[in-house]
Amino acid sequence: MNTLTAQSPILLETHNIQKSFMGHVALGDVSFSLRGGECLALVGENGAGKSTLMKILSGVYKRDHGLIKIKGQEVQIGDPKAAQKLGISIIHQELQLIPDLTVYENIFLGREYGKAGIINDAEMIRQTRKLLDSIEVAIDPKSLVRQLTIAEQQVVEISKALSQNADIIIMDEPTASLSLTEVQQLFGIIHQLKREGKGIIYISHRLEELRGIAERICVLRDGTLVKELPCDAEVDEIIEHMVGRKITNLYPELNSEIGNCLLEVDNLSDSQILSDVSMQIREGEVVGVSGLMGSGQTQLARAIYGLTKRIKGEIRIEGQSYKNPSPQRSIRLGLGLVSEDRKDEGLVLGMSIASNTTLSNLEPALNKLRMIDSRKENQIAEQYRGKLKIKSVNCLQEVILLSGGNQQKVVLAKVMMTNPKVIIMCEPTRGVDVNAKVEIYNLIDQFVREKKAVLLISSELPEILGLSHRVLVMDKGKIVAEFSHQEATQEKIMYYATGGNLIEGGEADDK
Amino acid sequence: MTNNAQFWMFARKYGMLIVLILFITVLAFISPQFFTTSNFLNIGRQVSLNAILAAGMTIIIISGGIDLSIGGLVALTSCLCAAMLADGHSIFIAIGLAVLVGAAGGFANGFVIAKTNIAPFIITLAALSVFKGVTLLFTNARPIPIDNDTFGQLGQGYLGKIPYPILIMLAIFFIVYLVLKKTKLGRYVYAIGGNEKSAILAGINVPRIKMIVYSLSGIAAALTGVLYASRLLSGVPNLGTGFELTAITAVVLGGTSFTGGQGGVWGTLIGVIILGVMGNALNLLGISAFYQDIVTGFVVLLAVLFDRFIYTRLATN
Repeated sequence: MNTLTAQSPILLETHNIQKSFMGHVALGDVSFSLRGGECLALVGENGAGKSTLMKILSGVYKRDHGLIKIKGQEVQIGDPKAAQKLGISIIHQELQLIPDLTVYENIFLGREYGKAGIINDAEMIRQTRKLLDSIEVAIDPKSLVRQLTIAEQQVVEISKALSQNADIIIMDEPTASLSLTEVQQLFGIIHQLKREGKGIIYISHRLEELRGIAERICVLRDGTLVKELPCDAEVDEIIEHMVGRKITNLYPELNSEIGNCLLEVDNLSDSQILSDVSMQIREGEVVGVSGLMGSGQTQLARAIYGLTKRIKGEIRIEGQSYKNPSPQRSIRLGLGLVSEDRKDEGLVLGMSIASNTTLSNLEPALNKLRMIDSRKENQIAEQYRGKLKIKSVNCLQEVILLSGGNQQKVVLAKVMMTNPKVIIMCEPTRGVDVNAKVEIYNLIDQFVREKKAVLLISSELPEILGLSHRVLVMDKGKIVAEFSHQEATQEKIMYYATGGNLIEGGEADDK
Repeated sequence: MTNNAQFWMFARKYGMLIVLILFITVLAFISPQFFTTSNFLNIGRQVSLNAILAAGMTIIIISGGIDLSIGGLVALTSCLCAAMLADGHSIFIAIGLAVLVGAAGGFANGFVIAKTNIAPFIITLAALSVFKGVTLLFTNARPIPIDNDTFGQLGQGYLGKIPYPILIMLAIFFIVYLVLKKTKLGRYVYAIGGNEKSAILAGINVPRIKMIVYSLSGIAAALTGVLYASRLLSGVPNLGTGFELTAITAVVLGGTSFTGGQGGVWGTLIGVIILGVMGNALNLLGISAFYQDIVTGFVVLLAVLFDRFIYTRLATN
């Protein structure tokens, strides 16, 4: 299992790397080394300097001071091409493939085989197959990238890195949008790469998974490497070093008072995946929905909120039937949605914090002539900024300039401004640092204490387990199990999420 | 560092205004006829009609769309207005009908765009062809003369020294400014142009806003058509060719982002004036009008490069 020996050559060394942006120190003094066959986990809060460090290694930024050595040789990494030549490849969180080209065309993009401008497809397909075989995955080189799952697309990116003879592969949050089984497959590939003597730098927010993959964990805080931990470090300990203080309670206590039913769903189906989903949420409740990626959780949220056309079944809000939902009417009836992807669907990035906050409800910012009163709007936004602890210069700052956590808080402010009774939250803490996470958890708790409710959809099981009064498990568009907070465990949820009830053969469907 | 960022912010906001002022200063030294009230009023009178189109186009482009059909609507509404007057209808009915037809034409664009989600470029290109065809059909491609001096006042008359079209243009720009910056509609236009998906999720009725926006562009085209009819004292069927491109040029010069969500109508006014001053200057300096197109092309290119330059400066700061 352990592929690392003392003889493994040192692939990469950095000495005292420093980088400042206009007087702001992004990296103080970073020194580390990476051996062949090793996976080094790099963790830290947003803004700790991880991406700056990666950008220096991949040639996007130039360092102010310090040395970089590759295989003992001092190198200059002037631009991304140079990094590629030196054997450094980055797998970005947002994959950089072209969806309408095939797997092999993507892998050899810009480096096509052939003579006199005539492309030799057969050779590229053969090479691609060889690459995919070497990491033991079965993907057809001729399939379009568009048709692949996110996990498969990531494999294509990794193959692309390998085809460029990369020795040092940097992975930026590779598991952010993978299901648990896909994560296991990815880890299998990483182990295979390690056996081949490649060095991996692995950046992740999912601290629980590091144990299964990394040899060492380096913690970055405020641009400095504050601690190197062994792979079996406890998550609490890692967080402590990331944040610089002890976090005693990540999750709030769940002692809000449960009251009347706020939202009921009966036999909800859509044309894609949902089939006969029934559930209800009561005042004071956080109901978690868990399942593998693509099991219908997102579709459930979108169907209830009115983003899906042609749904069957019934939705009731406080006992009133709600037919043909649309976002406008959902908001009026007291539903709010925090969508999965805040940049794509949650915010207008070029607009100010104030304008984003009032986007769903401008009424309170209008004057008697029904014109927008900027001063009023600012006051309102300022209130929410204070309440949600959004860190910015003022409310006129464009949201594109905010960190992930603060952007997410703006999304929450926007939803809260419509005075919802039930908020459907999809991945509310994705890409958000620990401090902001805790703040968002507390906001959820505060919210349900006001006789309101949250439907929480998250791929992070600890979050589901820590926050939910009840947990629903989805598989293939159906709710397959329900647990109370006390009953729910990671194992039970995974058992049902991976189709465990079918093996049991208990509740066979007659249709 | 903030000083730097602030400088580039300032440059982005007022860049074209500074260019315009430099332009005017230089020209004032070169040509004695240039820096006179009468010449300025002359420029204003020349640009005012097409400026109204550019105001409508500004709203469309901020919403993330484009309207290529306005030239066709200008021709159609000017001929319609002329035909109504020739038929002996009152001025109010003639103008009213023209505006109504303009709004309906724009609405049709908006309706198809909102319902089909086909690119506005294609829909409005098709509409341009239809509007032109309808105009030629009902006029038999012959101009319709207008024998009505009161109506002629609208495009030719003066309030004191200032031509009516300038006043009308300024009024329209002010209204568009209020709509864009002070109303829910305007905020939604920016939101849709900035991120349509977020706008839908925020509960904004995106199809409705699109229909309104294209209707407004249609109304702007109709007002331009009416003013042309008044100025030329006839409805001219082949009027309006290329007007959409002039409007787009002014909007782009004014710093409104072609990808939507950014910009404003005062920038467009500066864009319009720059184009007008350029034409006027070349004219005064006795340079062939053909050069004007070439110069315009390069000015637009420079403006966009300048904007990009500032934007990257802002991004790295």
